Amino acid sequence: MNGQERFKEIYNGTKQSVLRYISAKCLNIADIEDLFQETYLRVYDSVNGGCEIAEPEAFCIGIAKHCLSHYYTKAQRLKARISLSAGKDTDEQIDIKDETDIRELVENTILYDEVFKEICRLPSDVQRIFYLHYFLGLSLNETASLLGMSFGQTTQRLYKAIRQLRKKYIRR
Amino acid sequence: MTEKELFSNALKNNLHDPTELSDEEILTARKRGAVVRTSYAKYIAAAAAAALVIGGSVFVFGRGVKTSPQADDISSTAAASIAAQEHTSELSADEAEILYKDLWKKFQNSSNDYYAHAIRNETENGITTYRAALIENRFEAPESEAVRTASEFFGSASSIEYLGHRKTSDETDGKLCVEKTVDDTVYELFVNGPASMISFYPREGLKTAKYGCSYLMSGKSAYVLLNVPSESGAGYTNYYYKVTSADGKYPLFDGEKCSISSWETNESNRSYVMDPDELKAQNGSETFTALDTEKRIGFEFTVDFKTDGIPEFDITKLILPEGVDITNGKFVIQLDTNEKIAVNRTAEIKIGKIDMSDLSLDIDPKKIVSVSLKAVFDTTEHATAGEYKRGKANDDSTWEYAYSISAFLADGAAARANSPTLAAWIEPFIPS
Repeated sequence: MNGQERFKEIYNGTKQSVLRYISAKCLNIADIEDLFQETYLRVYDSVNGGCEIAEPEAFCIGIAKHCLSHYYTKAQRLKARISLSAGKDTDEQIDIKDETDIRELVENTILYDEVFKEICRLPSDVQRIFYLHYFLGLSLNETASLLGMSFGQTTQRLYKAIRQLRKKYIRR
Repeated sequence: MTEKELFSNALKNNLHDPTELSDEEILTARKRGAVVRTSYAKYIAAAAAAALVIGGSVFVFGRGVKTSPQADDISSTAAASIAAQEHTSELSADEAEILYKDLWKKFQNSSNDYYAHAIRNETENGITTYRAALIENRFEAPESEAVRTASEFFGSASSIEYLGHRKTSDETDGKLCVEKTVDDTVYELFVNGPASMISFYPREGLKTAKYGCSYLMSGKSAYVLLNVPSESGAGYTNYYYKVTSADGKYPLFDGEKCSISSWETNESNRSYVMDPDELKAQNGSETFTALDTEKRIGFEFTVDFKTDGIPEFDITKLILPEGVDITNGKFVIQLDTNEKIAVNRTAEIKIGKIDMSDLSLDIDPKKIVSVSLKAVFDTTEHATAGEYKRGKANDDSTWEYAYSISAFLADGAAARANSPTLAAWIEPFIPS
């Protein structure tokens, strides 16, 4: 098997788990694509350089971890360890109905851009929840598990963010 | 749409799933020495294919790479060939690129033929909206520089994405309607929305119009609409593109609102909004004549721009060639305020005053910023209408009349041009 074939095999076998890893660890969801691509560029370099890779998933995630570390400054990483959204978690259950009919409000893709912009302004841990749940389609349980949070923490932070977002687009 | 769909779409509309990149696309990016996002990789492939077709011109769309194509990169013959086709369906990526570039080149080459027209509104929800159009030049065109700026920007955009098409004759066709509130009446392509729309039309007017371009700007992207008429004149196809600026800046848009300089010259940012006193001072009681381009069919009317109430309209004369009668139709008077988008009054086409006094219950007369009168009708010359179908009202009802004659009596364009009288463009709905 030549280098290119080997890379293809590794890429196809690991890309989902690497994406999940990066999604759970990034500080801003807008960086995910770059980090993902950077990871595999380095994997390719390794494969092409003749590196023997026994455990592709562990190897790729290790490189992803390295990329994350390089991508963000130490100060950014330290700051991100203190969740900006964690302070007011309570056990209170908030009923956020998903049936809100916002058809009239969502008349065009500009609203998507505006909502996306607001999501990107959320604390990084909340951005990750949005990405994993709404973009990758993971359940909230899976999302919580991947982020190392409790289910309650995850839903509280998500719902709090949704309430903030709702104030913005309902105003329209 | 549920909130879940909203958030999901917001993310999917702005982020690409990197796992959709094939291993080859990542390697391609590596060879170029730059990371290439999914959509751009597709464009590179499309561009490479197009380059083969048009004789070797290569254009590359890549994030942060200043290798953006210029209009001249495209063989004019190839561009003209594609642009001249009657597009009734979605284009391939390379065809869409060529169409896009060719049209912006046309506008760039004739920017002096346009002027800007804009009205600022605040909706009931307190959202400031802008209605804007760059339309054929009837006055001196101080904003032509703005047109040129926009054309240059979009003619050499660093990345564009073809989103799909929509045929005006078939609302359900096409993949995407960027702006639902676009009025399909071709010379009323005004938009009320959270961002700003700039429209471009050829100088020759709508009767001979070939293309129109509009763009809707948000803080992140510009959505460009190319409005291409069918060869038969029976409809238009709108092609939509998303253009992303490398630095997040767009021409004529400061991130929140249109930034054509002459729009905002006083402290209230409403220099183009005339208050009732100005309306009265500039217009008073005026008699206007609105005719079609052949100066055969039209009407005369008097408007009293009152300082303390709704303007009064009095139709004094219907102008018709001998033997020609109006068979059916209506006058539509539209009053725009800076709070509500518009209030309309529909009246039968006949001589006499149009009672609009009750409209003062709906709007504050002191906040009227624009007044227009439109007549849509059939004549015994053009009895009906299916083939003349052009108009679409704000309430989504469709007009099917042979003629539409519009008179814009007082608005920002007239104020800026210091024109005390009719600021109108008048075109019959005659198929080209």
